[in-house]
Amino acid sequence: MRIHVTIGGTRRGAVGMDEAEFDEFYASSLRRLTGQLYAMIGNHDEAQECVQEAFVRAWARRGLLDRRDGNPEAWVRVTAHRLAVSRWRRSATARRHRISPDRALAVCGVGEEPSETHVALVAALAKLPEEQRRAIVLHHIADLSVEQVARETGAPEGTVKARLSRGRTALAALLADDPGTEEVRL
Amino acid sequence: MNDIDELLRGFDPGLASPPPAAADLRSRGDRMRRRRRGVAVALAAAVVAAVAVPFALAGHGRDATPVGPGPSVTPSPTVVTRPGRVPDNFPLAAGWPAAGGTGEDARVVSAPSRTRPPLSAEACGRTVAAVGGIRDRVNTTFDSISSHRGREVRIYRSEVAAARAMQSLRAVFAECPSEHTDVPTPYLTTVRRWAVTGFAAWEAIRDYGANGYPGLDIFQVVRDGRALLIQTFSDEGGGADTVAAAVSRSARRPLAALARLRE
Repeated sequence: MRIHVTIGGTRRGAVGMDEAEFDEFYASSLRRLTGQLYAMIGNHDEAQECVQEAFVRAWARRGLLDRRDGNPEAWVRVTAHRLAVSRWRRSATARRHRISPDRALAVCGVGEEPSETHVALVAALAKLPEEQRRAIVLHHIADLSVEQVARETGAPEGTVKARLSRGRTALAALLADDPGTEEVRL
Repeated sequence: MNDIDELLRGFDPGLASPPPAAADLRSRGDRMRRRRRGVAVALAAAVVAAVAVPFALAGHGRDATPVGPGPSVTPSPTVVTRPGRVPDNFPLAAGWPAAGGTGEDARVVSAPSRTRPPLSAEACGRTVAAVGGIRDRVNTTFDSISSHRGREVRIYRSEVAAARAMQSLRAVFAECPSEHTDVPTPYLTTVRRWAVTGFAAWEAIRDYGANGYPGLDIFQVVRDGRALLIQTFSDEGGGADTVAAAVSRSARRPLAALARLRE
């Protein structure tokens, strides 16, 4: 799988999506991407909102999303994560300036409740340093190779391997201490 | 470890809420695309206007964004000054995007207020408003889905008090070149001269996001005699210098009006 995050610059030969392709892409990857972002940021509602917003932006830039050999899913994931960080920053700004909370942070709709195991896993992931958590989610949940994780996070491969190793060790300890995940005790 | 691998690989918590139809997202994407093109056209027009209309530049130290009220700025003829008081029609929100839109497209400009908390310099756990010795102040804010802006004009009791306030605000940023928060990368702060012709001015550029998660805060202060104008800007970031230049240009009318408040 190759990753081309070419938004902002046109890559020669890129072939944009049409409506049917976008709809199929959305239907097939929304749930997966929402789960991945939820594992990264620890908020299920916000994860889905950010992923949906990333799809909006993807469609707005569809001419640059290469459906042939690019990886639009990686672009949506990166954009959604960036939006989540941006929202965090924005809500921090709102607190700083004592303005009302971000309208876009409002939670709407009721969907599936994550299982206790999922909640426990997300809680354990949330205790890891950001870089380790992101590496683990991308490698183990999104099933990216170390090379792909390195490319998506902008870190050297060696650094990614170290983050994965430390993150897994820490995660194992955290899960072993959590009664909600007895079934995965080592 | 295999159990952890399986747990992670099988991670599928579902969706938090019923998802919108793809057609709805495409519709929003189309609106975003049209809006962006509209902005691009407007920017192109602004660039033409900027080239056609010269305005005063600072003569030295081009390390900051040159901007000035200068001859290109149409003074606000309706600004009526009263000593020690900010005119009610001071053009605080001039140069900002117009209010409007709904939902995530909403752009909200707050009414000018003397009671809203003052714009403050915040960094490394310090918050300084520097409102000691102040005679009057008015501020307003702009909010959209991704950005926040603020402007505040102040009149101090004396020029010394205004200069002291300016220095107090500056010190907050100057003493905090780097700040670690819970965002992925640290805030990096640059304090530099803000080149505004005829004024004492500085700006603090705070950004983070070396690995593609940009955030940008700009804090600009300009003083003319007893009058101070503070301008803040927060957005997703990227291209800090370009953004700072645009933010500076947006302040031309308030800067022109500030000159009328110096005494």
